Amino acid sequence: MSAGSSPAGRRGGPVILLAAAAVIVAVVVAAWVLQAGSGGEDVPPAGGSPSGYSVTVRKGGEVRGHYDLAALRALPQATVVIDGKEQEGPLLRTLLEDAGIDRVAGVSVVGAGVRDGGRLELTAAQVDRGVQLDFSRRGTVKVCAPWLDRSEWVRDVISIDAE
Amino acid sequence: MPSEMTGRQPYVWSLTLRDLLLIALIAALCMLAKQVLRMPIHVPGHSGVLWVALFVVCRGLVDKRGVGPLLGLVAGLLAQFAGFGHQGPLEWAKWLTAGVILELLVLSIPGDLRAWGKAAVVGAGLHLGKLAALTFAGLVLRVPVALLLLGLGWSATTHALFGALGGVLGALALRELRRVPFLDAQARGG
Repeated sequence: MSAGSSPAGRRGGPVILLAAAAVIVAVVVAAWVLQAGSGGEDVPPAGGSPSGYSVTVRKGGEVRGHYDLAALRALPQATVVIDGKEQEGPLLRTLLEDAGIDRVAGVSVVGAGVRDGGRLELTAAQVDRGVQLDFSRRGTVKVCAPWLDRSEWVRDVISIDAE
Repeated sequence: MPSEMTGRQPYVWSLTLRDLLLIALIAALCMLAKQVLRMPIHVPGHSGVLWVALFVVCRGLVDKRGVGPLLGLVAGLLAQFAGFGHQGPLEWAKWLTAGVILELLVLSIPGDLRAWGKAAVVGAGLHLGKLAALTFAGLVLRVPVALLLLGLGWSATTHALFGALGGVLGALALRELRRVPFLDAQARGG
């Protein structure tokens, strides 16, 4: 017996190997089909959000607005370079002001939590330190800032709750 | 008696202390690899290159049935309780799934894990399995389906490619490691 070997012997090996590779290719194709069926695209058109994705902004639990990608793009944009990559989108402060929220005691950013912790708590002072929304390839936005550790970033932002 | 001499593959309950230490060490290295190999290239699944290679190396060095799920479980527990993951209460599930798929593919595809073809397919499969578990965990945690499906095709493609690359790297590492006498004896079950 050798390293990581199958007890099934070597007969039919190439056929089984090819069959396993075909299953993997089929899974990848199925993922593309599921994605296409959901209306999701990797790079959404500049004017819209094909999947119905939007960010809900609340103040004290009261909904102040829903922002789809088009609405977010319509806000004044800012750009910051983090780790050599440009992050472009509206500042969090800009979004809050557009929703009619001028003063905050703190802000909770909530994301889908699929690829990160899915939650970030910011103080009023931190909100004013260039916290930025960035349009991702997935057709969603993430919250980031040069002073935030990458592990603290929130991807696929769903809601922003101000207190 | 070494399994290579008997022709039978022992099960996971015949693990030696050395096997267990190796599994624990590689599980810890997987966590470290996830943290260290985080390049700003913005391609999903790129950190899998290293941990998939480590999974392949571990299964190749501890050649006993059931080692895959055990490695996945140990890595999952480490990720869950040492705070390495982001899947909340289901962090362990993706690692265990990767381990289970590693085992299934190793047992069902004839040949040696040092063969590039087998290692690439095993690597791609277990990395895709982790992505599937991640997506399923999102469903359980009631993440909107539309968000889960966004970019899924691209993610699946890159996970398969990086997984295959990790598998090939694992096979190369395994070939070199088997030149070390005590590791070779370890892999033979001696």
